[in-house]
Amino acid sequence: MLAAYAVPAAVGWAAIGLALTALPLSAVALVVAAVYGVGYGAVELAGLAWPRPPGRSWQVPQGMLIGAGRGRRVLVWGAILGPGLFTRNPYAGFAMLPLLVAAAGSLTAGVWLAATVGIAHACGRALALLRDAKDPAAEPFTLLLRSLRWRMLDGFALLVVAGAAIMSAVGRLG
Amino acid sequence: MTVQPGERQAASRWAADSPFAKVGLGAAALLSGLAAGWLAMGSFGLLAALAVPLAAANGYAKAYSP
Repeated sequence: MLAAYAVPAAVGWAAIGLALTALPLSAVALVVAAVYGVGYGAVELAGLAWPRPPGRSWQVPQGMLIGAGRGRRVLVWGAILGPGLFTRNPYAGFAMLPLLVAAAGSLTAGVWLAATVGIAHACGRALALLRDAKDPAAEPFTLLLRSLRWRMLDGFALLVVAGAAIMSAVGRLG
Repeated sequence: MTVQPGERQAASRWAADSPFAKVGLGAAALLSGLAAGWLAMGSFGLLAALAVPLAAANGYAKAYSP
């Protein structure tokens, strides 16, 4: 199951890495990452509902899964949820990832980082699904509370990344 | 939906929920990033190293999104 998530994620993200690092975006991406990290880090930490993190609101249509066998179901879920690019994501940290890939500065480093990021996201997603399959579904209130906690942690993480991006930008542009 | 007393306690369990703690911890997070970036002398390797756990945690946490 892990491979069904990780392989499409590695391929999809490597293609993104190739596209982003082929363009001369490195310095701009670093500055945008710093501003984005401080801004959305503060928003998530404060628990504000607006501005929403950039991303899509699409969810996997049930029609793609109804009547499908287990193998096809895992493949569809893996190809769509593994890379994490197509479905809704409530955490602003996700949009930071392509910015960091774009800031890599070299094609090889960008593609490797992008593929690693894709695999990491896919493995996290698959492990969460395995955990959910083992444990009974949590109450909606508990689920919401956990989501708020993760949003706060995401805010902390964004601020740490923003600090590192500021120093990297100073080193590169200064 | 009925909220159980235990869940209410869980909702207020984190010390980081107070506004002062949020500001303090947020500033500490930013400063730790700045310090790490300074120690790494602005190397991109640090950002790459931060991107991987950020991606993994994001994938894991997405399962909690309502």
